[in-house]
Amino acid sequence: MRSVSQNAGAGAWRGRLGASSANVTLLAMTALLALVFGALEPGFLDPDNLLDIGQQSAVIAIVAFAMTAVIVARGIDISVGGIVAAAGMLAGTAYDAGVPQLLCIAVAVLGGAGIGALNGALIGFAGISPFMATLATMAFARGLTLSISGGNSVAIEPGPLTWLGSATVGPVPVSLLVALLCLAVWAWVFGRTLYGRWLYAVGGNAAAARASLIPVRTVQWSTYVLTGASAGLGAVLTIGRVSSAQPLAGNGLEFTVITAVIVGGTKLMGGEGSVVGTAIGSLLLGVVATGLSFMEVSQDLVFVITGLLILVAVLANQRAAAIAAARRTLRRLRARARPHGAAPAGGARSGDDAGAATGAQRSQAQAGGRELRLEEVGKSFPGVRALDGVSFSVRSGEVVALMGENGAGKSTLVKTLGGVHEPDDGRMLLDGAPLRLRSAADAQAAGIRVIHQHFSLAPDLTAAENLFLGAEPTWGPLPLVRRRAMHARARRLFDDLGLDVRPGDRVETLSVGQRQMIEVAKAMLSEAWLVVMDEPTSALSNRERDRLYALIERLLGRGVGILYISHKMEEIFTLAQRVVVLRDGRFVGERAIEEVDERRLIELMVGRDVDNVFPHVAVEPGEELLRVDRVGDGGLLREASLRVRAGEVVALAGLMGSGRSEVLRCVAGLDRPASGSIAVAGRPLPPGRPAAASAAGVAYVPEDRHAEGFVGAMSIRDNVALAWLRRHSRRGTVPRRAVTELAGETIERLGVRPPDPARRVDVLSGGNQQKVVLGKWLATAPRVLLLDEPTRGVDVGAKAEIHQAVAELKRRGVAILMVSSELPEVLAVADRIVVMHEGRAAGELPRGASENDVMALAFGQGAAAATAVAAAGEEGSA
Amino acid sequence: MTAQHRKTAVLRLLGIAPVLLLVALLVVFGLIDGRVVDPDNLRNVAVQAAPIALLALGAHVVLLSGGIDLSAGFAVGLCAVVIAQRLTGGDGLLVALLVGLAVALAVGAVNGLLVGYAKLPPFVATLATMVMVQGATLKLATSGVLLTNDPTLRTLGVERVGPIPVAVVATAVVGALMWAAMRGTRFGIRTGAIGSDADAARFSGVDLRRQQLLIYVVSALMVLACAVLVVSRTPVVTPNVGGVSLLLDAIAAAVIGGTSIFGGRGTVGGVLVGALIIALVTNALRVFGVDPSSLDLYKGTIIVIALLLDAAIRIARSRVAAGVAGAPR
Repeated sequence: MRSVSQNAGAGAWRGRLGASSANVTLLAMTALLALVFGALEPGFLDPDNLLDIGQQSAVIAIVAFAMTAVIVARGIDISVGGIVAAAGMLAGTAYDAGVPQLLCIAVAVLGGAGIGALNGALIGFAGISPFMATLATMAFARGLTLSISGGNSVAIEPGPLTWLGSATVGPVPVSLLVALLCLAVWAWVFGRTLYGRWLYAVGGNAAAARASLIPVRTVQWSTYVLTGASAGLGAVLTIGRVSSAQPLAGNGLEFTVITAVIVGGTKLMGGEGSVVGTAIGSLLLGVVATGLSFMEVSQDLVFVITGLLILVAVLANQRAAAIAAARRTLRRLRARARPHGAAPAGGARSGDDAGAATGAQRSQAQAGGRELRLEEVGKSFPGVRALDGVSFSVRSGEVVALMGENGAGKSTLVKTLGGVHEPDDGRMLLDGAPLRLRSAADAQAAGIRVIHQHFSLAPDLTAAENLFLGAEPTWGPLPLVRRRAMHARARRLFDDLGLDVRPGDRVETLSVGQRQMIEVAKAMLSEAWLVVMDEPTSALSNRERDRLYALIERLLGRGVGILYISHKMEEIFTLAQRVVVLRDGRFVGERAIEEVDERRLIELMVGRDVDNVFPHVAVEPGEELLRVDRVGDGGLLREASLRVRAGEVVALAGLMGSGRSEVLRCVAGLDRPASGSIAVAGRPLPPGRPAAASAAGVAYVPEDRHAEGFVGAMSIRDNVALAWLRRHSRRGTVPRRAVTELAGETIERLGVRPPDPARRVDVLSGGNQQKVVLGKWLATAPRVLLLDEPTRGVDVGAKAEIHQAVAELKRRGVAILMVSSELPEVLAVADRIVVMHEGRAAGELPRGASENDVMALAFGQGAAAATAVAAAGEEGSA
Repeated sequence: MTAQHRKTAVLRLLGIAPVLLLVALLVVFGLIDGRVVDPDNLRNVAVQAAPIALLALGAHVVLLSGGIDLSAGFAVGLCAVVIAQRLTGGDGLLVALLVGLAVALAVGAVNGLLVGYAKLPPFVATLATMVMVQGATLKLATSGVLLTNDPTLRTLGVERVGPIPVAVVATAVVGALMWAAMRGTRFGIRTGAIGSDADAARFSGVDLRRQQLLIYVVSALMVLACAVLVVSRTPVVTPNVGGVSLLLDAIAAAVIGGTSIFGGRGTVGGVLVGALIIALVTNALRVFGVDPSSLDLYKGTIIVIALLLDAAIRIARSRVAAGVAGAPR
């Protein structure tokens, strides 16, 4: 296994250096264009002309390399043209004032870096959006240029200042050599250095980068400084080419440079891109510009062709998506061509049938007996068979549970029912008639409503707007929305559900539980007969969960059928009549709930016998490693004190919003405590400094792995090494062999699947993503491990693997502090349980406490109960 | 509970931050030089703000959806040239406007198709169309300068209703219509929904492709409105009206007016105030007698300061808002 993973690893390193297939395509495209121009215009392929193209592309390329860093770190800099002008004019003014030419070069580069530093400060430290900040700086730099030059150019005598832009070494222009040198340096920076790794991490997921101890703001700031300095260097080359400093130099350069970067395959959304691609992109632009001027094409046509080129290049980069879209269209056309009902696979039907189904829905809804039947439904994605042979049915008035590990295909199935994905084969029948769902609107028309796991609410809209989004009530055929009616209906619905939300409240200001209930309200409103609930309780307190159960009862009474997805066994046994189990995309079976018990269900899901999901190992606790004294954060967390010793697992229980996570965040240095003190192994931690906490041996596995845990666009290996590299880089370079070994070890130790270190983390299942996050922190060899909901949304198999790893750490004497909303987990794993209530540590329970003891404390019902239990516990152990 | 009320009040105050900024600028500039706040000059400011405001309204819609339209600035030039050419060529105003409309719709449709249907990032798609629009404008404007003299357009550009210039009234009317459209139509709600969370909108049954097409078409309509106003104000039309500087003024106006560049947030009223702020700054610098070659320098500096203020306000708001949301239930 090791050798396989190392091979795959080598591929990824190559990809990082940019020798990817996209770059080869781009290079071929450039060469082809050059050949076409050569065939049309004989002089074009002359070596002299080719060198000329190289020289022309040099300035663009030098600035574009730095711009690649900016864009990879998820920024943009549209001030580069302005900086070229300003830096050039600064150098020109200095030259006029008698400054030696060599120093003038420094003036240009430092001047550019200075303006870049202003950009970086506005963006990195003041938090202004990159586009706006550099827009303002562009105006500023252009203004500065005009102001100091008065609109006049400055002629420069030949000398060092003009040498870079005008001299040649043999036949090769110096500027081209400078550009190649920059390329080499940047390629090394991107591929081999810690800084390069940080660029990708900051652009891929800034919050996760920060949690991984990366100085995000400084990294962002530095990219703009480097871009400014590069623009300054570009200004020097420009001066050399025309032997003068021009106030209008670099006009429109920003767009050319950004075009080169994007054509080179760097993603505007950050986190992905290569500097080699940028070099090819610059070259391509140079070839096109020179070729068109050779052919004496008029300027207007040059504009149009450049525009088209941008589109073609970007579309070519998205070619996987483009091919998929073309295939979809083809299939649709073919389906239309086929006679009605004659297609056994693919469920080919025309759009009218969805409407027909709606008609059927109305007539049958009164009868109350509706049924959705899936027959041999399958769905493939490139390289993955996500669903295979899934057959089951859901009828009005029943709850069918859908179970399976993460990655088993539940989400794909949910998306199929919601009209997001269309199945490749098999078919769906609604009340016996074939059904096709091609969009969310189709699913709604068929009476199917999906409550997605990741909320489908727009945070900036109000509660009422969200409720009606996609089906806003209007005045007849006019597109005018009946806002008052919307609010009245929403208010009635919220009252009905006992939900303390006003229709005009912005969803952003609501709690997670309230949002979940609004999702349910949305389903109620839609008059759907089938509601698909994807882990609806994963973010709910017990009180909110009970309200949801009551609501489900009411829906059932209305003849609604429910497909219920959950990892929580007790919910399945409380609610469901039947269980459908998926494993690895395959349909494993369907059982009546009476036929199975918990153990049997787990076996079906995992395909093997998992007897102990939450193992507990008895370890004699050692010295006290973590001491939290009366810590409050000025917000949710008021005052909490606790101790964790080596080889001990302490659980923090309590309701959501009781301040549990805040304790962990204060210890990890991610939040700054307003009061109290924290000590690790007897030494006080400076507040609010993640790096100091990490140096003291603290590691924090965050609550929301998507937000703070991993960088999705980076590989398993790079994620695992992210925090470790900080102290194991060799003078800023990445020790590649050590990283590969580390990744291999982590994958083996935690059982990450697939065991391919080059695999992007965002395509892994939730459980494997969580293992990667855990692995990232284990790599730093922590003494104090903070786990925030370590198994939320993780399947049973991965849960067991994660807790086996935790037990192993415990054996090795790590102090572990865990927050969990899953009481079985808390009760099974913890040596002691600290229960939080409204921001305070309400009490402590020993191992062996019951669920009721914890809940009593969590709801603030009497410290007396806690001490009584504690006393009983001590008696018991004595 | 009172603490919560106080927080809500603070939030509300922060919500009208653009207005406060405008007032503060008026006071400061007025103290520096009384001529700035002279009624005649303020009228000038309003007139100068009108084209910026129109283009900014289009930028607002696009930004609200999480997109950006870089082609808008040059498209104003294209539309202005097309309209002026028709007028000088002897066609009536209606024909000229219809041709302008056709051009604007074509640009908007191309943008919308590229973003909505081809799924290109808006920055790239509109960058490409921006370059192409530049090319088309150059191609058309072979004669360079065009002189127009349409009486109806002159009314729009020069006349007044009582003390208020017609151009300002017209802009206010367009602003009111846009306000109604953003607040009271499916289009408005769905545009905000896309910018706030595109997946959420899609799962709720919003047709993203169609909606994005509409968004860029609306942006193009505002481009047309801006072009008409520009032609009506100056009889001399060159390919250089519009362009990058007008686009940047419009985007800056929208952002200073509180429209988030990341989508989802912003109000039409804020955008209009933002346009006034931009126009006021430009105007005040002229009144102060700043050397024209240094004008951009000061303007850039003031915009940077405005952005810093805006950032400070936003941070304050998110702090207060987090406090409200996090209050124990």
